[in-house]
Amino acid sequence: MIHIPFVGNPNTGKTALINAIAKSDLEVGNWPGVTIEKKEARFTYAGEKIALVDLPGAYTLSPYSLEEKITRNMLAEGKFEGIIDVIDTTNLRRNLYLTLELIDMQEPMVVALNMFDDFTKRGYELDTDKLQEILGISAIPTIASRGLGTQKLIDSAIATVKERTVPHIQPYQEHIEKEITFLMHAMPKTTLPPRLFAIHLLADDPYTLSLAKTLKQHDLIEKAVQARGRLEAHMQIPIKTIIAFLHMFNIHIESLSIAQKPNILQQKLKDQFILPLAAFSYLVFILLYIPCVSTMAAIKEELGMRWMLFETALLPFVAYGMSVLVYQLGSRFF
Amino acid sequence: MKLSELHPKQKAIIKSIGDIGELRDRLMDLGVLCGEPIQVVRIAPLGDPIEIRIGDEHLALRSDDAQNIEVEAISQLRQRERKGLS
Repeated sequence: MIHIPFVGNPNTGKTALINAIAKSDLEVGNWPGVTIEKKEARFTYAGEKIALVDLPGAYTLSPYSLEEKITRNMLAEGKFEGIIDVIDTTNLRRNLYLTLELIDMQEPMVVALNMFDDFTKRGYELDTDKLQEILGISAIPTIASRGLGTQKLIDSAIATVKERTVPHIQPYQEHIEKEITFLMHAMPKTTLPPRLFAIHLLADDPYTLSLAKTLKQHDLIEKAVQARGRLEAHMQIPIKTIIAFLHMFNIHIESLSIAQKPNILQQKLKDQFILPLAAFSYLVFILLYIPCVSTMAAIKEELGMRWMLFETALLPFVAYGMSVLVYQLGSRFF
Repeated sequence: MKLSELHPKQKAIIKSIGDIGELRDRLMDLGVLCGEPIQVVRIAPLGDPIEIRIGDEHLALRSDDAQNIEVEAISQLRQRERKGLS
């Protein structure tokens, strides 16, 4: 039995992907926080028994909320053969934060670039080949809601598990790397991946610390405290801040041209002009700005040519005034 | 200047995050980092909570917590540059 947990930020479509792959019927919703416990969907694929493990969404492996703890605990137990990291492609930077943490686990892993249709619809492009090259693992565009890309995802997940393809380490700053290696050498064998263990010890993660305590690794804790002291003396910034920074910016989304800015004109139009209120005030303007021909004819008949010209000249100003009024008054309420 | 003192649509750079306990780590995980540009999107009718934008990310913060985040408004920065103090 191959266990594959689905890890990712909240509301990225982990459960929807599982349902699409395993034809299961787990509860999904289009808001975050639907999955609040570990669930499994089992199926047989190409003669292989597979259990897809659905986990609550997490922003990080140093948990803040209860659901994140469930996810972290499952990963810390180490009872899986490979990970599928589900990314909301429309929000790459925040999602890559967790991906970088998962990479530190050095386990076989595949990235699912979910909501890819939404991403392209917004005018972005993604160089998936380049991303795969950087990460050293496959990154597969998927659209969970329509079940696209799922076949490719599960195929490459199984291949990755069989070949044990682990992602490339995305190195931290040189001094931090030195301390990580130093701690990894002093480490006993645990279910927790050694690199992640070392980084979490450095960052003073309470769970890892208590784990080290139960393993009676007081030596190791002492070493971590010393290493943290050395780094903070050297850099003058809390180590947790540095690591958060590197998780956020280690992959240069812009400079590696992974994402391109959307069409600026289109964006401007959307931002400033085509709002329901603007459209409505434009409608008011169009309705008023020049009287219709039959009205003009009627005015000419009844009052004469001069009145008609006066009316025609006046109305655009009235129309403009009214639409300004509608827009300004409306924007107080909407 | 505190984050809670900005008015809607004003942009600022984060200077430091003060003592807000565990929330500090959480905010850092969500991208609220020193030196990052931040914008107040809107403020709820009674002044709490406030919605901020950081990158493409929208977050809602209690104004108590926003008080502990030190920022520098972009207009302030420009003024200082003009005076040559920056």
